[in-house]
Amino acid sequence: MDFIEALLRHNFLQNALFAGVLASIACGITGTFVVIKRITFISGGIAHTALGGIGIAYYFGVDPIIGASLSALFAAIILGIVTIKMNEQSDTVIGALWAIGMAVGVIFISITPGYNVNLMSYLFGNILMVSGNDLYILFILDIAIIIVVMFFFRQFISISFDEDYSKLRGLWVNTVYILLLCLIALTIVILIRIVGLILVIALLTLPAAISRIYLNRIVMIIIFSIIMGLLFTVSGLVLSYNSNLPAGATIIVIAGFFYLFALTFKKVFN
Amino acid sequence: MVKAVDIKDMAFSYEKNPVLENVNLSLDENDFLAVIGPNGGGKTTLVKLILGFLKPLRGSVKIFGKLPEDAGPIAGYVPQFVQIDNNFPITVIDVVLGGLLRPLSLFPWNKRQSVEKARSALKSVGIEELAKKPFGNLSGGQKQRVLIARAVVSEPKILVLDEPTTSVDSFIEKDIYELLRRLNRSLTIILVTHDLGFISKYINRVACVNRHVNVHEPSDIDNNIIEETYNSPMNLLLHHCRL
Repeated sequence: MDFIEALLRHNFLQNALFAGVLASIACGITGTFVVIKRITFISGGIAHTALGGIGIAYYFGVDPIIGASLSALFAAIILGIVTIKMNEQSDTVIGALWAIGMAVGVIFISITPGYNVNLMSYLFGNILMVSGNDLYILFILDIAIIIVVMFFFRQFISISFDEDYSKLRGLWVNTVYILLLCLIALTIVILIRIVGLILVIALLTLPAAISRIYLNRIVMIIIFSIIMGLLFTVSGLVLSYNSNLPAGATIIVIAGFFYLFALTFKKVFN
Repeated sequence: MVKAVDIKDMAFSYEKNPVLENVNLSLDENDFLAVIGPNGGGKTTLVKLILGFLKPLRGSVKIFGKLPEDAGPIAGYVPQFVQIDNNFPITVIDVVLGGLLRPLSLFPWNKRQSVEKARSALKSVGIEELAKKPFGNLSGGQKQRVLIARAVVSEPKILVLDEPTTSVDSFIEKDIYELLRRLNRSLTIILVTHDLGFISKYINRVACVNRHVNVHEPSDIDNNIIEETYNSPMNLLLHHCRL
């Protein structure tokens, strides 16, 4: 097959494949919590605020992935506090930060002198441009996510299942919640590299949403989500390489169809 | 002897709307208190104050001599059914194990000792065989038992239940009350309920909550007290109560 030959020959394809694997691990783990705690919208807010950081970093000549990480973490903390403090109007505030983050990003990118090809790659991702250095950063982020989730696994589940009871047990509910948002922020930074900002929420939530339809145990949902993520990124990569399509969008279209199929299948046969 | 619950001159309001005023309530160990009153009268608020989810505006709330927020492990709580996500992907035993979590429960996940405790809590509510089942697949009555098991697994001294039987059939309701009676031998129980029907035999105190809290002996409850609490003649309720 073309792809296999190309894979052996081209370093950028190997990097792309590794990036897909690392992204699938991250989104399988944190995406599961996004789905079961139903915080897709706030995750969207974090993702779009990350563009602000990318723009600012770009303008000052810093590595955009650092700008993205810092602004996504900043957004996670701010949005976490906002949702805790103002329960009812929090979605309006999330929407505002969402827009501001994006706008700031676009402004800074546009005032940066030079040719701005990179804006598109952050909006829609470019898995084929992942460098060895990027892979190293993605790997570190993955390890960080795995370790934190391992330690806080039961607490994340507890605050998602029953926040009041967690409070009664004296758990630091708000701190644990903000920690979870920070992990989501880091995952989003990983995913932006692969599918870009516009599509990031899809890759974060679709594998877990598919697994959630069929599985009833969180560990199983995580494992299955990782497998789903791998399936989508690898098949998307192959398809986009063979047909000369944009990789990020191809990955998302495959994931989206899978989700709709899984949903229909369940509805029809249950 | 230290009071199980001791509330003195307590008041609470949401924003500027007073919800509870001038509340005095004290319970001894092994009391079984039923909390009745109209919707919006402050029943759930009272419970949340006792559990420390809310802080009083004035006055004090103590359970076993401590502030509720410091007394966490002393209390077990069975929330209103609607507060729980019924489709959450979690097994029965993991729900019960959640009742043993503490702020520093990080790793390893579940000690053998904890799992054994959770199993015996499930046994005490009569559903040991459901341990590995997904919580979402259970019936209303079984779910309620799981939540009771979670509340008692930490061996609390006080158990608070907020309308635990609203979503279950009346024969299951009776079962659950029998279970509570058994638990009452070693526990103080506070039960928010709409209906004094089955439970009237087991309780020894009734708190009528409608902004104010009046505590009665079950045998003293009559039409006048019910009318006063609900602000309207409630013959129906009393008839239903068979007191």
